[in-house]
Amino acid sequence: MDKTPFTETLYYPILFMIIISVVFVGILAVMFRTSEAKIKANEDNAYQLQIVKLTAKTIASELRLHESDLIANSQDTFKKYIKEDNSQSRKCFVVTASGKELAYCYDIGGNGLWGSMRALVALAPDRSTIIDLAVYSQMETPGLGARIEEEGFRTQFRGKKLLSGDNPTVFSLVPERQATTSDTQIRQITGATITSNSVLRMLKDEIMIIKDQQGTAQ
Amino acid sequence: MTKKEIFIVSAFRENSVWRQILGICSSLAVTNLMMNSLIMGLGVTFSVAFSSLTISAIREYTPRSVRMMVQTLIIAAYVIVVDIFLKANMPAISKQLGPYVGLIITNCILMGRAEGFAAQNKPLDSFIDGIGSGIGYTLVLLAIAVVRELFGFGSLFGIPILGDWWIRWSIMVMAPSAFFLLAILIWIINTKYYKVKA
Amino acid sequence: MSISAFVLFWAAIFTSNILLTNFLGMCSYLSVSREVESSFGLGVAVIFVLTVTAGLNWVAHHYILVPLNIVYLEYIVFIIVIAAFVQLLELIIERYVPALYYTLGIFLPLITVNCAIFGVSLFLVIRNYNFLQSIAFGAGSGIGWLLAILMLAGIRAKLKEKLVPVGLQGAGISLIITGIMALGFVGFSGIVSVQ
Repeated sequence: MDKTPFTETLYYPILFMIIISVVFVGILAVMFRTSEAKIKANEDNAYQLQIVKLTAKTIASELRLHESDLIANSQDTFKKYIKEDNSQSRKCFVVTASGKELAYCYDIGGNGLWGSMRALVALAPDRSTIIDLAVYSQMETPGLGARIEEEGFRTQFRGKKLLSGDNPTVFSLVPERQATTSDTQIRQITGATITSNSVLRMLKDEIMIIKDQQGTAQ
Repeated sequence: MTKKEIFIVSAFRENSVWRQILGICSSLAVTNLMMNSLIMGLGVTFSVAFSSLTISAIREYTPRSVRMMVQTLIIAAYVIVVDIFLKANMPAISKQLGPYVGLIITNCILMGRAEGFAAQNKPLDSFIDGIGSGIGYTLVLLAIAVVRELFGFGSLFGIPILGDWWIRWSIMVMAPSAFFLLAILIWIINTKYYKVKA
Repeated sequence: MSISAFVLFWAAIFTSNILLTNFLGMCSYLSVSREVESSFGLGVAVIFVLTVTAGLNWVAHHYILVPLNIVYLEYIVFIIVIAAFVQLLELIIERYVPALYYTLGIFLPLITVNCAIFGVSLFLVIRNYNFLQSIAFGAGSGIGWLLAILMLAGIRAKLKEKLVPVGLQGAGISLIITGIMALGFVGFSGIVSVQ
């Protein structure tokens, strides 16, 4: 078998690499381009569903509808009641029903332990009281920091005020098992103090930006 | 070796984790929950089987000097194919697997099998070796995860098993516990399975 | 980012050690730490690869992937850059330091899939480091990895292996030692913010 001399010449390896690279990158490119639209649609639908989930209760109680129906038909709900407000520095969605602005849903971001994180926070018309909060993108440790997406952690924020007068509320972390005794205590994720603090820091920084934006607008 | 023997050897006798000490990084990160371990294990099994198959199919034409780059390219390509496919068709599962995609590409098991088996053996044998390695790896992950999830969260696969009275062992939630559990697993296997004597 | 490259360098070595805090780069670490000398050789090689590939991949991300809108190929480009550089390094070591080449064996090509190297490249993209920060982070992570492997190799060298139960010798006891070191390093977490 005299194959070795041929495969070890100078040009063959380079040619081989080029062919292999082109073939595989080509397959990936084709796969990506054909799936691109579908992936984007999936992401958009998930994003809109998230916003609907945060604000459905508010819409439902205003219009005397069923919250579950609104969520089940999330795309219709989004088209009917929610509009993007492009005038703000943070992406903002305004929820309107029966002529009133019921809620403002902001897309906020911050830095966690392993990477950046993004969240959707639905605020009442006073732009301080949290209706609901959901972290939709994070890179924290699965099973530890990533648990900030769980119901148990994020629902704690419902009803809490982000502003005390003109200043951001200072929240403090308490152990997960402990019952909270005040409006400014948040139960952290055990073993994920840094990530829990990152969420608080993100809320503190972003609410000031939102507030300043409102201040200058008025 | 028969096909069955190849499978048994790659999954058990020459298990990638406890015998060859490969694939450790991911064993530490994902074993805090059983569901994560299962998804990671399946992802790795699929990727190592198909990349071994492809690398074996072109082994006669691959020049020695670019061998590693070719293997790396093929492994990375398959993993990304899996990722794109899941993102488009099973977005919920993709969200779970998302952060692990990078870990699969650098999982030493894939390169180890490519270099150690696929480069010298026939495609179908390499495919079976890949499946065996992947299954063996998955079993190790699940074994560690059973302990970590049960004592760290009181649940298995997300289903609560121990009641609210259970105080979670924080050590089990943090990664260092996987070191100790893996060491114990290796100890038990070495003593009982390989019957290592002084 | 407002963190100075200098601070990042020291943080990568101690408080955010790539191996003992982020648990990346385990496989070769466990196997090569049998001997202090080959550990040192591998560690130096890793420092070199980490620093250079951190720089190369930063350039690749900001000047090729992003402008051409092919970020989905990021994993492939990064790993190919790393593989190519390691292949080059292998040829150089084989020619000039053959003793090291034979000691390292399969672990030299396995530097390519050392999750620490790939992980550093991914981190510098995720955390938006600039070029200088990336180089500092890469070099620091490499030195941190060297530090960790030397610590384990040193402990193993002094350890009277015959006192360890037979089933635990080798990989088992290394894992336990590393676990204890990792627990110790948990104490460092959060001291210096790395992003």
